[in-house]
Amino acid sequence: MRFEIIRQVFQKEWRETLRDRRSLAVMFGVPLIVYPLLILITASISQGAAQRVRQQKMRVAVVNAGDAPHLVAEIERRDSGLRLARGLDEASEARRALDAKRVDAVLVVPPNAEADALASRPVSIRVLADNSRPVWSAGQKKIDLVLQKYQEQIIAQRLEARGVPATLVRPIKTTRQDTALPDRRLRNLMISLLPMMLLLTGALGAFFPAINVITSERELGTLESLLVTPAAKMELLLGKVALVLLSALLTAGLNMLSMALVLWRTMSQATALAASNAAKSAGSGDTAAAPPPLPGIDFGALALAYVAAVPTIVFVAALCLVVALFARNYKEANSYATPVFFLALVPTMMNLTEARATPALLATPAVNSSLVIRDVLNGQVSTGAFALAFLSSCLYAGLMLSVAARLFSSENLVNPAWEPLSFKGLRRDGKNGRPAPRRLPAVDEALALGAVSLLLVFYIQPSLQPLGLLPMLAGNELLLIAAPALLFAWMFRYRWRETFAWRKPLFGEMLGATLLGIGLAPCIAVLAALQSHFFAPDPAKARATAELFVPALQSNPWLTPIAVGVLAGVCEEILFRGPIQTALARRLPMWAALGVGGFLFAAFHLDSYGLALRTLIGMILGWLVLRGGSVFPAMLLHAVYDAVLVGFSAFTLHRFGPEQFVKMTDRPDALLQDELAKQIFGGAVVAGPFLVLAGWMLCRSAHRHKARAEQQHAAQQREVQERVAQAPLTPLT
Amino acid sequence: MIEVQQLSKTYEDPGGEEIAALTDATLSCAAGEIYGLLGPNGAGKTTTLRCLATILAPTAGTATIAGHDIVSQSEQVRRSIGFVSATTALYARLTPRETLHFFGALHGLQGAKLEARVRDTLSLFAIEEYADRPNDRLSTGMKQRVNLARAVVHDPPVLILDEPTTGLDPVVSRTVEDAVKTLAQSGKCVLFSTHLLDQAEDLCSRLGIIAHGRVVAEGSVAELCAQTGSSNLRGAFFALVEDRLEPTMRDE
Repeated sequence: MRFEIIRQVFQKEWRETLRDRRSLAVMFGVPLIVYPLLILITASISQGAAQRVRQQKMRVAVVNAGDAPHLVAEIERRDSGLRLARGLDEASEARRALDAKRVDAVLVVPPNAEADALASRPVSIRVLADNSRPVWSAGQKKIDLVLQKYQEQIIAQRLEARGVPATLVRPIKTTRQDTALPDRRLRNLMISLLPMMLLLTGALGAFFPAINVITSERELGTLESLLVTPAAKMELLLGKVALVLLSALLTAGLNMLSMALVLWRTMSQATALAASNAAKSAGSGDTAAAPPPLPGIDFGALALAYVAAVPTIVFVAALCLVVALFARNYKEANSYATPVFFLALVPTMMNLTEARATPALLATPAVNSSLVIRDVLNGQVSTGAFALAFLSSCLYAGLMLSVAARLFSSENLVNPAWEPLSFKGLRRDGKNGRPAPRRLPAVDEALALGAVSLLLVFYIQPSLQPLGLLPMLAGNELLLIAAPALLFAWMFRYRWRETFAWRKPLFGEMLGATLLGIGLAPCIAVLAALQSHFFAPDPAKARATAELFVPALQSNPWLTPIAVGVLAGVCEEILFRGPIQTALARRLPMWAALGVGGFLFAAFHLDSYGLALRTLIGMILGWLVLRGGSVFPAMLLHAVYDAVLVGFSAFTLHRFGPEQFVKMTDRPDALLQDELAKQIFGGAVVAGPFLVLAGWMLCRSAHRHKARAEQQHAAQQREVQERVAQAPLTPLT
Repeated sequence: MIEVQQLSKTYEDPGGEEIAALTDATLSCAAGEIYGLLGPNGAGKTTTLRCLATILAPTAGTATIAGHDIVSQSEQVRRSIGFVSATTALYARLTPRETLHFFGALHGLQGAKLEARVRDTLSLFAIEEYADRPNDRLSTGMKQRVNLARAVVHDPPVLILDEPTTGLDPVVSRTVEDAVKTLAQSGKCVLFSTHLLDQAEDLCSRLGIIAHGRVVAEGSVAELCAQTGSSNLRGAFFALVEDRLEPTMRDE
C-alpha cells in the first residue's frame, strides 16, 4: 500500500468533486441555505396558523342563559376568549347551530341553575362540542377556565352567605412556570430530526461522489486507463473510498450543525416572543413572571451524537459504494439507491415506537445509532450501550467495505455487460453441468456468518425461553448456531471436511480432551471466583439463569447435564471452530486467529462478566482444532466441561433444595458450609490442574505423533512420484 | 519486447456458459516495430490486448512484456506499457495538463521530473495551446491526442493501442497514425489493433490476423499475400478469415 498513490487518487477525485456543481450543491448548498429557509418558512406558517386559532374567539351558545347570569358575565369578559352567541336559548336550536358550525360549543345550563347552586343543591352543566374540530383543542381550555371562574364565584358567594372569607378555601396562591420547556422542546425536535437527518444527508453526501468515482468511471471508460497504471486496485479503491467517506461525513456534519443552529434560532425567537407576550399580559396583573431562559445548544452532546453516527454513516457510504459497483450505469445506480435512502426512515420509526435500547437493537445496523443519538441528546446514554452500538456499527461498516473491495477487485469491472447483482453465481453450479470448485470460507464471509447467527440469537432466543431449558437450548444451538453455519457452507460451497475439521481424531487426543474438560471446570470456577472480587456478575441475571435450570435439573438430574453438554459442545464447535476459525486462521497468525476466534465465541454468550474466561476457553478449544486438525476433541472437551458444571449444579440443587440453590448464585461461599460439597469441590480444585496438565500433555503428544505421520506420508508420496518419473516408459501392449 | 505464448482466455457469460474469447494466441513484437492485430469485430483483439495490459487475467498460456510476466509481474508490466483504447475516455472535469500530471504521478514520477515530462509530452503532441482547457471542451481529435499523451507520459517502452482511431474522421485518424509512427521511430514497441485493412497496410510492419479467438496467420503484408496466394492484403485477409468462419456462416 503506497500512501502517495492513494493521496494522488484522492486528490484527483476531490478536485473533480469540487468542480462538480451538483455534488457541491448537495454537500454545502442544502445545509447552509435550504434548511434555514425551509425551516423558517414552515415554522412561520405553522406558527401563524396556531396564532390564528389562539386569537380567534370561540363562539359559545348557552342554553337557559338567563338562569346563570354570572356565567354569561364571565363569558362576556374581554379576556375570556369566548363570544356569546345570543338567541340560542333553546337546546335543540343550539344543537342545530353546533352541527352547522355556527357555534363552536354549547353550554347546557339546567333551569334555575345559579339559584340552585347558591342554595347548595347539586347542579351540572353539560358542554357540547365537536372534538374533531381544530378550534376545539385551543378553545377547550378557555371554556374550562370560564367554568372554573364561575365555580369560584359561586363558592365565594356561598361562603359569604355563611360569613366566611373566600380566602379560607384558597390559603395558598400558586403560579407555575416550566423553566425546562424551551430546552426540552428544542431537544425533542433535535431527537426527532437529527438521526434521520444524519443518515439521509450522509447517504446523500456519499451517493453522488460514489457514482462519480465508480459507476461513471466504468461507464465512460476512464477506469480502464486507471487500471493500466502501476497503482494497485486497492490503492485506487482506497483513494476513492476516502473521498466518498469524507464527503458523507462532511455533508452529514454540516447538515447537523446547520440544522441545530436553525432550530435553536427559531426556538429562541419563539421563546422570546412568548416571554414578551406574557410580560405584556401580566403587566396589569399582580405578579410579573420571570422570562423563561432561552434554549441553549449542548455542543458536547451534539459532538457525541455525531461520533455515534460516524460508523453508521461510514456503513451507509459503503453501501452507496456497493450500489455504485453493482450498477452498470448512472441510471441503474439511481434506481438501486432507493432502498439505501429508505434506511433513513429507520430512525424515524424508532422514534415513533419509543423503543428501549436493548442489546439486540443496539447491535442492529442504523437502528443502533438512532437509539444512541436519542439517548445522547437526552443525556441518558450509558458507556456500554454507546460502545456496543459503535463497535457493532464499525463491524457492519467494515463488512460493507470488504464487500466493496471484493466487487472492485473483480476483473469484470471493465466488462460493461457485467451483472454482479445476478443471483446466478450464488450457488455456482449448473455451468456446463460442472460445479464450481469447492473452497474455504473467507474472513468477511465468516464474520457475516457470525453476525447472522448473533442477530438470530438476539431476536429469537428470548421467545424460546418460556419453553423451558432444554427446548430453548435445543432450538438455540441447533437452529440459531449450527444451522446457519451449515447453510453458509452449502450455499457458498465450502469444502466440508477442511472447513469443519471433520477428521478422525486419535484416541490420545480424545482422552486428553476429556481430562481437560473435567479439569478445566474447577480451574475456571476458581478463576471466576477470583474475578468476582473486582468484577462481579449481575446478581439478577445469575438468579434468572439459576431459575431457568431448576425445573430441568429437578425432573432430569442426569439427562440435563449430558443434553446441555452435547448440544452446546457439538453445535457451538460447528460454528466457531468451523467456518469462523478456519477463515481467521487463513488470514491471521495462529495466536491472533485463536484470540479473535475465542473473543467472538465469548461475545456470543452475551455476558460481559464471563468474557475474559470464555475467551480463554475458546482459545483452548481453537488450539485443539488447529493443532490436531480435528474438531471432535474440541466437541468432547466442550461437552464434558459443560456437563461437569451442570452436573455439579444438579448435585447442589439436590443437596440444598431449589430456594437455597437460587440464593447461592449471590453467595457461592454458602456452598462450603456443606461438608460433602466442600469435599467434592476441594477435591476437584486440587485435582483440576493435574487433570489439565495431563490432558494437555496427551493432546500434545498426539499432535506430535500426527505431524510425524504426516511428514512420513508426504516423504513416501514424494518417493513414489520420483520413482514413477524415473521409470522408463513401457508400452502397455 | 512483447512475447505471447499460447495465450487463452475464457469468459463466463451471465447464463453460466463458458465462452472462449481467445484460444492459444501466439505472437511477438520487437522494439521499434508496429505490430498490427487485424481482425473483424469480436475476433478477440480487445481480449488479447486487455490480457497484455493486465486488466484481464489469462486462463492459460504465458506472455511477457519487456521481460516481465503479465501474471506474476503485473505491476512491472503496467510500468512498461502505455494503453489507449477506443473506449477510454478522459476525465471531463480535468484539463489535459492535470490529466498528464495525475497519470505521471500514478506512475511514480515526482517533482521537477514530473513537470519536465508533462511539458515535453504536451509539446510532443502539440497540446500546449489547449493544455488548460477542461477536457470536456476539447474536440474529439484533441481528446484522442491527449489520450495518447496520457498513455506515454511515463515514457513506456511498449504501447498497446486498441483501435485508437475508431470513431475519428480521416483527418484526425491521420494525426493519430502519425503520432504512432513517430513513437515507433523513437524505438517504442507498438501493438496496434484495427479492423481497417488500409490502416494496417499503411502503418504496420508486421500483422497478425485474428479470427474467432485464434491468431490464424502472422507476417508482413507480402508474406501474408504469398501464404494465401492473393495479390493484396484484402484478398489475403478474407482468405484467412473466411477459412475460419463457422460452416453455417459460410453457407449463408
